[in-house]
Amino acid sequence: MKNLEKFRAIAGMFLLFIVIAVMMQACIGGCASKCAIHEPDAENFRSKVPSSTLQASFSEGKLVPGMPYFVVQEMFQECGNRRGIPVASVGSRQELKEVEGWNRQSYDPNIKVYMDKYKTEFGELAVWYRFQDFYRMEVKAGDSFYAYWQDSIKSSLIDYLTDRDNVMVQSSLTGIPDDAACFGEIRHLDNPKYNTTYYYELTKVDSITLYLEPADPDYYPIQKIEVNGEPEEFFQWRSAK
Amino acid sequence: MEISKMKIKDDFIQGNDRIKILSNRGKPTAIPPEWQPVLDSCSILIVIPDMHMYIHGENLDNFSYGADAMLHFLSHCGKLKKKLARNGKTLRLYQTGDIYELRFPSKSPTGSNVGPGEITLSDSSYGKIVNTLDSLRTHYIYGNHDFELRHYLGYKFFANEGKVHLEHGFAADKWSDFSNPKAPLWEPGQFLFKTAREIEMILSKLLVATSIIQPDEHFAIGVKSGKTERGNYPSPSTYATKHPNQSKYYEKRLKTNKDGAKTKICIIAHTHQPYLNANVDGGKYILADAGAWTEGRSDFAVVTNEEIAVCRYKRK
Repeated sequence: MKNLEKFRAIAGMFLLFIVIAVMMQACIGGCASKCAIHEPDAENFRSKVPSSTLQASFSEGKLVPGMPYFVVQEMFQECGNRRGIPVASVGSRQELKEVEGWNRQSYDPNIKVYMDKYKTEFGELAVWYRFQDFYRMEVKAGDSFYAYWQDSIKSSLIDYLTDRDNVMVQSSLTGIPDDAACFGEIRHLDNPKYNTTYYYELTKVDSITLYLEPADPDYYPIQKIEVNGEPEEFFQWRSAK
Repeated sequence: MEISKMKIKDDFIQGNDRIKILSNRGKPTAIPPEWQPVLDSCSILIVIPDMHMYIHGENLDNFSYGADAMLHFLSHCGKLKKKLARNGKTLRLYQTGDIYELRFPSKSPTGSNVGPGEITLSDSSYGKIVNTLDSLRTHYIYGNHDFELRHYLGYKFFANEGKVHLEHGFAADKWSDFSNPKAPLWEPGQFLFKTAREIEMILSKLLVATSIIQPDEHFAIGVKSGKTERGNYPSPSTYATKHPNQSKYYEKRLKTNKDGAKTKICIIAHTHQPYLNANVDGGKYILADAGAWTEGRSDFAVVTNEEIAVCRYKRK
């Protein structure tokens, strides 16, 4: 009888330990502190992102693909989450990592697609952003091109690429001086992956040539958004103003 | 075949007063006419040495002090590259290893070493520098501090540009230097090294908390801080005593034609000491060390068919 009681006591303690361990795991997964969302700087956004579509989304409190990564940085500025997880492609959640030797890891620097994940009050937000150039974004002859400079928008059609960061348009972009820094929007004619892509640091070289400056990662455009593991067209961080 | 004739001062420096020639008492070193052309597929060759980029703002990062100078230097190279391209000429850049400091710990809870993405995303200037290097079609050679990059497209152990052999320079080191990935005990050595830097990171946080050092001030034992600009050219006679491995090994390689019978010039980095010796084997070869772009230095090497020089790009 004594042995049976001892066994019951040990089994009971073991069971209690398992229950506590499981609850702790669940808590770590679900009770981890949520990231506070800060309101991004509207004036900064308006000055750097002239696209009316993106500005409209911003005023509605929506984070959408095409917005620059600095918006995410401002929103989650106090969140200590790991950022910039390198992944193989937009939408992939698997960290791209090779391990060799004694726990030495490496990542291919040629692949510049990154993911951030944040626990928010609205659910888990996953954001993908990447380095862009005309080749990677499959820009093609016939795509519509819009160059924003100061308060003017000039349009043309893409003619051809001379390099991954150099594009020629079909008609002259008169009114924009040479060497001017512009913002570019391309509406793709026949692209299964992207309807519209945005280019933050373009330089107008001459009347028909535009050059994409080497990117500042703060301006890597957001490619995709998922909330609670499901693709979404936007992430609503506040109600529309 | 017409040899592309270029002078370093007229055709590369072009009045940029931030560029100073360090070697040969401030003058380009002439390449013997019988060697020319030394470059077979470009007109100007630029060699950028060790940068050791780490996470910006961390006490272990030493590159940040020279980041602005690098951006200006790359802008100079970029404008010149476009200008030369209009005349059918090529300016080619090489980064000869240790672009990243991958031997240091990651800030993520993986317990592993840091990766290039974590470094380039840590500050907009770092991302901009790497993206600018890529846009200038820079060729990369891997070093011992970024040895893992050897797996990836665009990263090589060595390169031959005509009669110029380029390599990082770690191959000369012995196992006891713990800086040659191809020598014994490198693996355990790097594991201990990273562990030591992890302890150092904790120590630096304590030093910051007690205001002994600033939050973004460089702190790494055994590494000169880049806060102070260093533009001196150490006497070439000290190279053989301070870096006997590199001096002996690469001079021997040149003399024994290990890198091809036509190789006349060898440019390495790794030591962080700029150096140029045009008198290898009685003037038959040239050995150069492009120095470093860290620890306060901002050195690089430039080669044309007519001249070679080790230079520096001054901070503002």
